[in-house]
Amino acid sequence: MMALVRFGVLVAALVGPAVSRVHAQYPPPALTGEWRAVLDLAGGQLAFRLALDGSRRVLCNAGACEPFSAVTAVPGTDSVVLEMADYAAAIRARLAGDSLTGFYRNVGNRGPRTIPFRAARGSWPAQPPAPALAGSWDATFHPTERPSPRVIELRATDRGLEGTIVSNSGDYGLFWGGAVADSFAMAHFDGSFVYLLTGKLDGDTLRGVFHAGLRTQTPFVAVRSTGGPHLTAPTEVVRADTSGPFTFAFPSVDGGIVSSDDPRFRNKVVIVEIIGTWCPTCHDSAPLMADLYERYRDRGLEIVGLAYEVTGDTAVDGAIVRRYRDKFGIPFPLLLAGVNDSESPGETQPQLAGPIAFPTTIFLDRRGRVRKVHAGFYGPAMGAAHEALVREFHRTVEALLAEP
Amino acid sequence: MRLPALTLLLPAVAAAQEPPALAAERADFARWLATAQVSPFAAVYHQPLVDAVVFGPGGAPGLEGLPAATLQQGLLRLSLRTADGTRAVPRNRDVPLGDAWRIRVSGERGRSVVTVFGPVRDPKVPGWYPWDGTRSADGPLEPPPRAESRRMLGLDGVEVEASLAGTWVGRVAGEDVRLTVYRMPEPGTEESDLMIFFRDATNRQGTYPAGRFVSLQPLGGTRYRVDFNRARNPFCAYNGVFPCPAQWPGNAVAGAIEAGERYRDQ
Repeated sequence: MMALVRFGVLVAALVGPAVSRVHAQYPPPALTGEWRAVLDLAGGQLAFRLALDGSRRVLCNAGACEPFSAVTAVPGTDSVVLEMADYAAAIRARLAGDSLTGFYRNVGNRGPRTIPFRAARGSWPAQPPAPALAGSWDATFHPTERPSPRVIELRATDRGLEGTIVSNSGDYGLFWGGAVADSFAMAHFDGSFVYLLTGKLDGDTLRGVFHAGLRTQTPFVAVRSTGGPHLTAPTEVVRADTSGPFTFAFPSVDGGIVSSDDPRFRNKVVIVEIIGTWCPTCHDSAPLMADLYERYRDRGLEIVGLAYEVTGDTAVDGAIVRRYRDKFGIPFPLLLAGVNDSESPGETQPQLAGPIAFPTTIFLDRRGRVRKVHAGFYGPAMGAAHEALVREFHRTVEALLAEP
Repeated sequence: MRLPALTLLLPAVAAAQEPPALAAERADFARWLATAQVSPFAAVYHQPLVDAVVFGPGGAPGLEGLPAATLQQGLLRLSLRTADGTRAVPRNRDVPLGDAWRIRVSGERGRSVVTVFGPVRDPKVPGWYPWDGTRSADGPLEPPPRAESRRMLGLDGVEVEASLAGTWVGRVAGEDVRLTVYRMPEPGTEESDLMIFFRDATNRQGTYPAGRFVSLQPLGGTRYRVDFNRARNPFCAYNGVFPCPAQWPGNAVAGAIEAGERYRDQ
C-alpha cells in the first residue's frame, strides 16, 4: 500500500489531544516569524523550518508545509506548544530570546516518544545542491541483515538537494537538504514522519544511513540506476467490474447519503477517489483533485471522495474528514465509506478486486462504467514522475469528457 | 564520621543530577500509563487470534462484559461483526467497540494477537532507581556471525520478526559483559529498536523477575551507548494479560544493575 510507507503513529490520534492545559494566544507575539529548526536525532540533525504569523502557522521542509492545529503559550511560563492534532503530536519548547529549546513528542504503541528540538530565529540559507549526486540510485537497505530494495531520487534545485525514497509500496515524501563535497544529508519531517537520509559518494557507490525516528538507523548502499527494474511495481488495481455502472452510497460528512444514483452524477464523468485523512500520499493528491474539479466541473466532471478512516465512528471520523476538506479546500463531496484497511475498500466496493492502495483513483465514463483505475499516487517529491501523472490524469479526464 | 554522611548524601546528589530529559521522559511515560486508552493497565485481553474471538455474554473469558461482537479472521479479511453490522478491522491500529472498549489486532495474518482495552484499572505509578551515570556505558556492537532472524516477543507482548544485530560489548556494574542484541521492528512503521532483553541480580530484588529491556543509542560507526537508567519493564510487569518474553540466552548479568525501572509489586 502506498500509504503504509508513511503510516506511522497516526493511531495515536485516538489517544486524544496531545495538549490538554494550554490557553490560547494564537500565535504568541514573541513567536511570530521564521525559525530555523532542528530535531536532534541520534545519528544527526534533521533540519526544517517554522513559519509563524497571523496567516501561516506551518512547519516546512523545502516547499512542502504542514499546518499546526494550534500554537499556544502556556500561561505564566515561557513555554509554548505547537500542536499537530491530526497526529496527536506536539512540539513543546521554552522560548528564550531568539531561541526555542524543547522536545517533539508523539505516541507509539509502546508509549510516548520524544526527540530533542531546538530552533533559532531566521531562515535556513539555500543548501549546496551537489549536482554530481543528482539522479536515480538503486539502493539496498539493510544490505547485510535483511536486504530490501529502494530507489533514491536526488535533484539539484535552487533550494539545495531535494528528492525522495521510493519503495515497492510508494514514496516517503519530499526530502530536502544539501551536500558538502561528496557527502549529503536530506530530511523529511511533516509532523508525523521523522526521516533523515545521510550518505557519501564512494567512487560509483553511494553509502549511507536512513534514519527513522530518534534512533532507528538503517544502512544502505546504492548504485546509479541503469533503468532496469529494481523495485517490484506498486500493486495496481486492474480487476474492476466494467459490466455495469459503478455504484456507491455512503454517508456524507455533511449528513445524508450520497449515492451514485443522485442527479449530480447523472451523465457526468466521475472520478471516485478512495482516500484516508491519515494517508500522506492522499494529502499529496488532494490539491490535484481540487484543481481538476475546478477546471472541468463546467464541462461535466464530478468528483467524490470515499474516505476510509480510523475509528469507524461517524461523529469522530466526520470531524476529521471535514478538517481535511477545509485544509485542502476540497469543493466536492467526501463520504464516510469505512475504516482504513486495505481490505475495507474491497469489502465495501465489491466491483473492485484485489488489494487497494490509498489513494486509488477510479475514472468513470458518462455511463458510470469504470474506464481506468490508478492505484497510488506519485506526489510532488517524485518530480518528473509526479508531473507525468498529473498530465495523464488531465488527458484521461479530457478524453472521457469528449465522449458522447 | 564524614563517610556515612557522604554516603547518605549520594542518592540525593545523584537524583539532583538526573538529566532533565530523563525526568521529563519518565513523567510523560507515567502519565501515559495512567491515562492512555491503550495503556497496558487498560488491557483486559491479549491472546492469539486463531479463527475468531467472541465478545459479550458467552464470549471468551474476560470479554463477557463487552458488547456482543465477533472478531473473525476470514480467508482474506479481518472483520468485526456487531449488532450494527460488519466492518473491516485494520491491523496494528485500534478500533472502538462500544463507548468504553478498543480492540487492536497486532502482527501479520496467521500470527495475529488480539488486545482488548477497557477503562484503565488500578494504574501503578512506575518506580525508578535514582539516576546513576555509572550505569551507562559505551561500547561496540560486534556484527553477528551470520544473518539470522526469528520470531520474538517484544516488550508489548507482540511477536515480531526480529533480526540478530550482534553482540554489544561493555562494562556494566563493574562487570565486563557481552549482550545479544536484536533489531525489533515496530509494526506498521519504518522504525525499529536495537534492543537487549537482560536479567541481572536485581530481578526479584527490586526489578521485574522476567527481566527488562534496554535500547541501544547509536553513537556513530559501530559504537553504541547502553543506558540502563532507561531500562524498562515488559508490559507483562504491568498486567498479567500480557505474555512475558523468554529469557534471551547469554543475556544474564551477574551483578546488580540498580538503574532504570523497578517493579512496584516488590
